[in-house]
Amino acid sequence: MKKAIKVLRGLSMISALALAGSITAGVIMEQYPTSLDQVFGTLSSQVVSEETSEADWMYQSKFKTIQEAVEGYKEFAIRESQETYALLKNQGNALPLSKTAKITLMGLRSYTPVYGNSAGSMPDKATLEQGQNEIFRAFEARGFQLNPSMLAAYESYCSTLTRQSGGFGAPAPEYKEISVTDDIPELSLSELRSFKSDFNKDYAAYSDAAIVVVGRPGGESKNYYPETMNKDDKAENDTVSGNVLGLSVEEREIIEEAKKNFDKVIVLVNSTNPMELGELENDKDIDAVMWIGYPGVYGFYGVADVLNGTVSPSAHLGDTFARNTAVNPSMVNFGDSTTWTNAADYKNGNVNTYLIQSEGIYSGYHYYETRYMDVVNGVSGAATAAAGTYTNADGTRSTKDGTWNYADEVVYPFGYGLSYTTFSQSLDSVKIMGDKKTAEVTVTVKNTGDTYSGKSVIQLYAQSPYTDYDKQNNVEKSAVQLMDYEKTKTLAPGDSQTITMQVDLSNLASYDYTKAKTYILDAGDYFFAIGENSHDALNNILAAQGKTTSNGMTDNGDAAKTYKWTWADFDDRTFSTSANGTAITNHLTEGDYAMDYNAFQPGAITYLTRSNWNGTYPKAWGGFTISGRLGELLDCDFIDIKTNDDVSAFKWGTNSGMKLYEMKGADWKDDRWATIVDQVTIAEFLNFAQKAFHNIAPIESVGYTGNNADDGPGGSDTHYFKEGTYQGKAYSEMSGYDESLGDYGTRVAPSPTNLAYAWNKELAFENGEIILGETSLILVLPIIIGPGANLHRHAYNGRGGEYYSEDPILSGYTCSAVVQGAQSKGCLVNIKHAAFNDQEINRSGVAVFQNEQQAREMELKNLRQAIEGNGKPASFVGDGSKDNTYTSGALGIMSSYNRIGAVPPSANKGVMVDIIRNEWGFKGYNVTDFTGVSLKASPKESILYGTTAFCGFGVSVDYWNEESFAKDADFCAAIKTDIKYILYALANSNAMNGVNSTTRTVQLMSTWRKLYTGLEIGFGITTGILVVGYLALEVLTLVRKQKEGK
Amino acid sequence: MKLKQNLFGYLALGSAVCALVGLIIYIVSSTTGYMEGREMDALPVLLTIVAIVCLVAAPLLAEKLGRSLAGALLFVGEVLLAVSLCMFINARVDHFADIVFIPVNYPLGEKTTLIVSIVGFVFYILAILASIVAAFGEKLIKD
Repeated sequence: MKKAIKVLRGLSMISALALAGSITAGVIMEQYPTSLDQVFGTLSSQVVSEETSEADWMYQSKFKTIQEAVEGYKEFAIRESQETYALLKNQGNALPLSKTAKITLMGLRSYTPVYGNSAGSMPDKATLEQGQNEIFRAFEARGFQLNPSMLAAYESYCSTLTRQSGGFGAPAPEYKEISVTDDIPELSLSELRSFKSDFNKDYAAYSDAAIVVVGRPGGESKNYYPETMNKDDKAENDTVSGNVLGLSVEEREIIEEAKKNFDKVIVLVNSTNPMELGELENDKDIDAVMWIGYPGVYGFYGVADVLNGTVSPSAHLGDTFARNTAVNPSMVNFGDSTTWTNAADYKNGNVNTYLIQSEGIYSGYHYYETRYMDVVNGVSGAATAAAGTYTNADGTRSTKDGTWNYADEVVYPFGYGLSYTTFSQSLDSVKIMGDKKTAEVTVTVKNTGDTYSGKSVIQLYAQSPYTDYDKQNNVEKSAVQLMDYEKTKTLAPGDSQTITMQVDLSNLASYDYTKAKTYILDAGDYFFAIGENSHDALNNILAAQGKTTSNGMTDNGDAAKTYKWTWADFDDRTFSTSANGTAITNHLTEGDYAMDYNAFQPGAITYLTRSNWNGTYPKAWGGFTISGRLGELLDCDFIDIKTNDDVSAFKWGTNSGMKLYEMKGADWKDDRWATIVDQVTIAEFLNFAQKAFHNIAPIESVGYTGNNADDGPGGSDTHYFKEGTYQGKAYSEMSGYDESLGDYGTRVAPSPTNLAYAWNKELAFENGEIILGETSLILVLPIIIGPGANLHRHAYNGRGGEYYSEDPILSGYTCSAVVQGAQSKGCLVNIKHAAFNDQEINRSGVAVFQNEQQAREMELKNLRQAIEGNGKPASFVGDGSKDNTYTSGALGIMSSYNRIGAVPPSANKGVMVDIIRNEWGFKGYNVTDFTGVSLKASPKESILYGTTAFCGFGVSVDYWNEESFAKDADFCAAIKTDIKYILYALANSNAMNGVNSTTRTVQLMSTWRKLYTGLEIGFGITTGILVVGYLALEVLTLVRKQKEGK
Repeated sequence: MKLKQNLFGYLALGSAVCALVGLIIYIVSSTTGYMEGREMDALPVLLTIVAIVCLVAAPLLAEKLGRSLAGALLFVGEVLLAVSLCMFINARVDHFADIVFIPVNYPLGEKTTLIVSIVGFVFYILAILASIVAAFGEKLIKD
């Protein structure tokens, strides 16, 4: 008996431990159901409606079956890709090639190109591999005949590499060892020989052309650093400039091999970070250079279509391609070099570095073209440059004081791109409206070529005068700025098209943060100019101003392509209010939300001014110490919650019985909002707000059952067509369902940078419609976290491929078009990131500082276009089918990881409330980026300033409860408004698709639920039996002892 | 003094020591570093203290308590430790999720807290295992 007791006791304890573990596992799993579903491919809940009518489906997908969806996405992705490849050089009409050309692909990236980002908008692996859409198959499918020996050599090398495995999201179709940013993986000829000794045996048989592919990977959390090559340890990586974005020794060796053995050499640039291409441009033995960016899983069909002339290239660069990417004002303050000296004293764990962006508006072409103009005009000492601040003719950084020369700085200007045909563009007419707010500009484009059809891009630039007022009051002016653009339809030789643009002149105004503290228009001469790129447009303006190559211009311009007008009076009124009538004044120059570091340490920062290029060229602002109010703000806890306000006017949790679906499509001003908002309690709001990791939590008081959400700009990261539905019916339940397509995904289009380089608003609209909108409908993901729209401040953001351009109008209008397309299908976009994220390095915690002119004229001007719904394509005007587009702006944003000034971005009132909500009229959903409800997001400050949700896991602040906020009138009012933002955004999205009074969420027994439930039941029964047995035996023993004792 | 505990008795005492170490780690990781300034859930502390008392009393007072009661104290102690461990783990799941799901955003302090916590888990598990093995003993003291 004693033996049995001890055994039962021991076994009970083991079983009790297992039971506790099972229960804990269940509790934990139920906290993260959507995350588990994504990892295991399960479904743990489903929204079902007993019956629906057509009227319940506000938004309709055009893909009724899985086959239609996969084919539709493929068709669009190829068609989009064809417009995104920029021809940079085409000596002797080397391109196009014959459709059946026998070609030799060279370079490691010719076998395993970078199809897309390695994280964030990753290209879909199944579509690429199962679908057999790799570069070599796509080229062969289009008729090219490929050198098999070269392919075999690279195949042999790649068989030694490891395929990327899944991190969070989806595995990218790439090899781990070569998806690096601190190395330039390429094979030298001797290395190639070691994998295939006769790799070169078929050169002669495949000699129509050598196509060399060079590339650089990119993606979320990837970081590029300048001047990391040319170290002693890896000579094969040496580049001319020492930058990883230059061509390495090995890459040049491959190119030389191509030049030596082939009459025609074409180089494809497979990178979304602008590479240093001066060597290629200058080399007469390189016949053609084409930028292909990241083509996406189907994109090499499009590359082949352009190479063989099926389609003429029509893309233009959306970034400046500098000769030395590290030599420009933006790069002086970059990376992780500027750490607060006393960061360790700040306990919230997110105080690390700062970035004082003292280049002002002078990044990208705004810098290069403006300095060029001042050199031509012989002013401001523009030609004089200190050592290290200009580029030598060979692409190296200067080491002694010298002369700034545009031709040494820029290889391909912003907007550059060639075609197989030629076009003429004439500036037919310009009408500046009397109110100064818009201009009507008409341009006629004609295909003047004989052979090839093609599309042409109208690029409209403007110049505003740089006056004494500006110099005295720190108002900087770019020599040219893009104002608008349009792309023609495909024009056959001899055909022409006339396009009229309605140009928004608010984008012409300059922000004066010193004196007028609003937007101004100086008195003086203004110019519009069209041109083939930014530099060409500026040359046209300079020509109109009487300048020629004798003044140092690189080329003579064409004054006929310009239009000049004069405003006689200084104007600080026209654009002192926003489109919705809100007064515009400083919000980022002083106070807690300042982005200007001089607000915290007066006089500390000198910003770059074109009135003194050399004297104010940025320096690295290191060695700052946190103190005073700056420290309080950096600590992320700077607003107290009051406990005794009069809050009697606020009603919570009322029982009006309204349901959210009754508000489908409701206007913001609808009277019913007040009633339904009052149904939600503070506790319910807080619960909703804390559960936004790829999830939209239920709000039961208004009958909202919750939904899944997902990343990203390229389509759904973690859901596939096998989960697809059409109006509530699963694809998999339809007759003729093709199971082989089930693992295919929606991430099939080229990169966002590619899309921007197409300069095609209609195409961007269609991208939004399909990649975000259709994805949202098919996979029932009302929120898709995209598009990505931070500006390319420099060439070194490893995540640049997920964003569009260096220019606020090209980026802003592209983003706006994508948003409009997505929202036409009811997708609740979350534009990311708001704002000022331009590097992955220390992205969480880095405090970004810049003056308010730069903030408003660059990044914020970019975001404003999408949030206000600006940039309507000319072709949509007068098209009845597009009447419902561009009538409102974006309904969702995601704030950034980086701080805006000293505070977390979601807690920066200046940006989030004063500018985005008030000036721009944003009424939508605002979510943080994977912070959870933690101190680094300043949660209470954030909800006070319009944040509606926190992406991430868990709550780690002790005030996140109804009791904390219920007696503070400001918080009560803010939470009321936040609830309205949430409900309004959801009611105007496809979250309400198919929702009616019969809709409810059904919990399903997913595999992981069955697992923990089974364990709980099993161990529960076992523990029960064992414990009962153990106790029974103990009692029995006791009874026996007592009897024996008697 | 001649010690009366046998191997199982020492295992019970060892279990109490491991539990104490685990408890200290729980308290330290909940109140310092990344977690500094946050409210600590006191229930695991309470349960662990009671468990330690049970695990110490069982072998040291085995003679007075008798075999059955001493065995019952082991059982109760282990169950309380198991519940404490589960609560400790549940309190750290967010950090694990932060670090695993988006491994680029968390501050270093969070990773340190998680690693320290995992050490705490190990001590709790050792304590539980020791108490289970001790429970398979017929008695906790020498004859």
